[in-house]
Amino acid sequence: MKTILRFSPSLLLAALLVGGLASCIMEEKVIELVLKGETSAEFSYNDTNEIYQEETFIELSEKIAEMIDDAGLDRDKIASAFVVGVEYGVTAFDGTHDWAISGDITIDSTHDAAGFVPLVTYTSQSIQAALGERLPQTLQAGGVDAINGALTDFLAGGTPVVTLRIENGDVEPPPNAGDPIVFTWQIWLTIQVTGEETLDVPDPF
Amino acid sequence: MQRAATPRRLLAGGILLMLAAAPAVAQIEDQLSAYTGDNATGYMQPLADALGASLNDGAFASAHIPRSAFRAGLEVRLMGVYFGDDDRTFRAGTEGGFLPETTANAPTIVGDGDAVVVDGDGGAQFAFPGGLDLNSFALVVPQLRVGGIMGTEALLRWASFEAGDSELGKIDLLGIGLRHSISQYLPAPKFDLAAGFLWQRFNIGENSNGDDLISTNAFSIGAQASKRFGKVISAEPFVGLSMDTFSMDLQYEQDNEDLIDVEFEKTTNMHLTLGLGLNLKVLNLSAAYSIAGNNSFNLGMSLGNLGF
Repeated sequence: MKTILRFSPSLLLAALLVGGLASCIMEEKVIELVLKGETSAEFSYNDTNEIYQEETFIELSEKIAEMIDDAGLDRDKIASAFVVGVEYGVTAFDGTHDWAISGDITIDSTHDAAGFVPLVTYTSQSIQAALGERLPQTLQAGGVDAINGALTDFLAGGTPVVTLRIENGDVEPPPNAGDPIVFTWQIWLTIQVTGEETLDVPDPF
Repeated sequence: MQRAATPRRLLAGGILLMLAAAPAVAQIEDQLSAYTGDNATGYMQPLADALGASLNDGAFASAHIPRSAFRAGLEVRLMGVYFGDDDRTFRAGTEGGFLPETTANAPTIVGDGDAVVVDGDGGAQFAFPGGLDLNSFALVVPQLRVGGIMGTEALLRWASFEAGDSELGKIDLLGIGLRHSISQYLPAPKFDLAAGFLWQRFNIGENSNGDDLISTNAFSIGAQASKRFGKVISAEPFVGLSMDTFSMDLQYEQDNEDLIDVEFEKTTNMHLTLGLGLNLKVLNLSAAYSIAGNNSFNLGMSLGNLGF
């Protein structure tokens, strides 16, 4: 007991130091989170006609829902969601000879009645040069608005369906039955979601 | 914003006292998901620098190691770093196919909490994530010092914590050090002199793959001198000079499930420490300032018989 009493001022001082540090170490901060997500669509061509059209659904709603769930965020904490960029590249090519293709990538969202609007216009794109690449594309305002509108609709509780369509208009040299154009290409769409979160973080001094 | 100390916050703070190096670890990986390569390095660099400075600090508060008188002390060390304005932003570049490619002064992990958004072609946007808005960083470690055996002293730093699904993730610190008294070989030393090393491995957080989010290694080798003034209660100024190395590796998963591995450049710094210890029987208190690649300070408290 005597020993405890002798050492108690030291122990009390130690406890005060630890307790004092513990109470002042945390601070509440508001952090603007940015989540990045990517979805892609693949198109396979085996055609003898230079004018062709193909479309596929983009799983945009699923993608954004997955991003939010993975981050553990509530939907009401999301401030915005928007398009960052679109890239395309050729993933498979028979390589007999190169082709140059021109056309549009268009997009339609069911959240409005605008129909298909251009997202990317590609001109004289070499298939060979795009093989194994992810080439960023200059975006058209109409297509960006369509995707951003769909994202906003989703955040508001909607379930928009987004469809991507390739509208190819020209191929050089022109393909024919004896020389069909055969390749697979992929289109990547990158989106970001921002939201605020309040965190307790250690910031002691 | 400072909040009142409630029992819950005190408990949380008490746990965090040992885990202060893990500021909202889950959010770090979320924020990093927007970045790859140089952007990820730039975003995390201030934390890497602070970790390196802190880990290689606080290893000693005295050079007094008896030749043969058992000494032991259970210590708590707080190593801190203040962040300057230069630490708060870095030059970041857009990613994700954003055009035109644009650079901007974006927040680092310790920078402003607000994201920085830039506009691109066709109304596309790119957001550089915000930081955790930190003024300082503190690493609090428990350590056990055992010495006085053939003029040699061993130091063990250890903390391991698994926080399940919470934001903290996991913490795993292991440090092993050894020092030897040099002054015991001198005929009539006017002060105590010792030399030794400290190796540490510190892993923080868990990425989506179940691996360590941040893995670090630190090593310090150097010499220390100190002199005690007083008998029962003594004051002990001390000085140390060491060479420190620090390396850090970051592994996080991106949205496309690719594991991004960012290896920070290994740093080597000379490290000068100036401090003062106060030996109050079973309690030793110390404070020191370190001049190194990143200046830091440390406060120490030890319970045991190191002051005798």
